[in-house]
Amino acid sequence: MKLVVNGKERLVAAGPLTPLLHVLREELGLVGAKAGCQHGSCGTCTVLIDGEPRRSCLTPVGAIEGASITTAEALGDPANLSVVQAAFDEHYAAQCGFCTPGMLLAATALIERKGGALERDEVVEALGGHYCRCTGYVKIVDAVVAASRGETGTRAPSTLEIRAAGS
Amino acid sequence: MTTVEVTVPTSPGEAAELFGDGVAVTVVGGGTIVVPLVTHGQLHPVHALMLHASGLDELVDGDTLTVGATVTLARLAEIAPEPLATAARIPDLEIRGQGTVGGNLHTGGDLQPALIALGACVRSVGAGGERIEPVEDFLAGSEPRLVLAVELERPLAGVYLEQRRTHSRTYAVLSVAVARRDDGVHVAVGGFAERAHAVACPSVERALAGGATARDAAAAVLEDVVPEDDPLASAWYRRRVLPVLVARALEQLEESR
Ligand SMILES: Cc1cc2nc3c(=O)[nH]c(=O)nc-3n(C[C@H](O)[C@H](O)[C@H](O)COP(=O)(O)OP(=O)(O)OC[C@H]3O[C@@H](n4cnc5c(N)ncnc54)[C@H](O)[C@@H]3O)c2cc1C
Ligand code: FES
Ligand code: FES
Repeated sequence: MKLVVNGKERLVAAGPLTPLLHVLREELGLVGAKAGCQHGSCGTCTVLIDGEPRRSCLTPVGAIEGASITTAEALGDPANLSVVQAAFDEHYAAQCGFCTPGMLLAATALIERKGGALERDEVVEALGGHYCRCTGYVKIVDAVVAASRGETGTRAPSTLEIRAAGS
Repeated sequence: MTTVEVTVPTSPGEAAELFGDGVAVTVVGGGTIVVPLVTHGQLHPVHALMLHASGLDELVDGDTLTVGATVTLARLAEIAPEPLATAARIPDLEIRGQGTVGGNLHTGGDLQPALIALGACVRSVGAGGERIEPVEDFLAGSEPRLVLAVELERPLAGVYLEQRRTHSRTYAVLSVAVARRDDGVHVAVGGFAERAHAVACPSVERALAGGATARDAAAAVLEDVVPEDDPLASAWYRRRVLPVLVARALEQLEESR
């Protein structure tokens, strides 16, 4: 079967009941979506399926033939972060980073759907199914609110950016 | 995983035919419950019937509201009357967008008490063919049935209250749905025991019809259900909290007049 992953058509050999998460990580080598609980409970495997945030660990690949998948890999790279990524960086919204891919994609979809400045409770509702064991969430919500207002680019370049620029 | 035969019907009729008597058939709606069971080796389907292309996602909003089995909770929440809308607005956004009505009915989900209070009927197919029956009778049944749709009339008013679940449990610690319909106030509760499906509360309804106050009528809920201990809450806690939750729901219903 076919999937369109980050804009590229990919052929998938896995059986129809295989979770999309395994197809992404094991068959296509895209490890942005993390395998956390694999029970739908933590949110770190979240990707966009036709623009909607979905748990890739719960999605049987056979049910999404031909769909367009967006993973964290498509967002931006260290030298050219997406608005949401830049906001996460500036607000220290990632610590260990394990929850971050799911948070970024859910936040990106939320900002696109609402299309304007977000209130904190809208962000809390939309990210309510995502666990973070490090940050205490406050900085994540700060970052998403800032990104929704286009308030990024205020901080000096990070070590990641400097390293990427030098390489 | 042993080899599994997967079928993908493209019409409701084909889905019914492939389901047959349902023996050894694993239905996959949204997959939010089934897929992890398969991933973790807790379920080994022989025949998997995937419903995503079955056309069972029709929503007909007329005098009677007809909700196809594969309508997602997110879509249902947008058009349903209370108490069903709040029940369908489950806290987890991604699950709300993927979980279906048919799957929720089968897993002790939040829709059960709301549908009972609304007097909804379930249209299903299986051994003996197609039939339509009150949701309570459907839930009490034990042989496999393929849910085709749920049908209900809009009530005059409704309220859904729930004692918050622990994240990612498929059922609530306690849930209460009340609806005022033409023939009076209807009450149903769920989550009072692990693996128990939601039930109607005839004692509470009789007390209300007899003119009891919300608080007095709510106390009768313990004649209708026997709360149990399970990993989410103790029977003691449930016995204390359930009448309070029922009373609050009835008072809110009263205020909505
Ligand atoms: C993180 C998380 C949070 C959740 N939160 C809630 C919550 O707050 N409230 C709540 O109520 N639930 C919750 N759930 C439980 C569940 O996801 C939902 O109840 C959902 O509606 C299940 O539907 P599904 O289509 O995904 O089920 P599936 O996984 O597809 O199926 C579940 C069961 O129903 C059967 N089935 C599915 N469709 C049919 C049909 N048409 N006919 C016959 N049998 C069928 C399947 O064979 C299976 O046995 C949660 C789950 C997760 C993982
Ligand atoms: S890995 Fe999918 S939700 Fe945790
Ligand atoms: S940053 Fe570690 S889990 Fe969120």
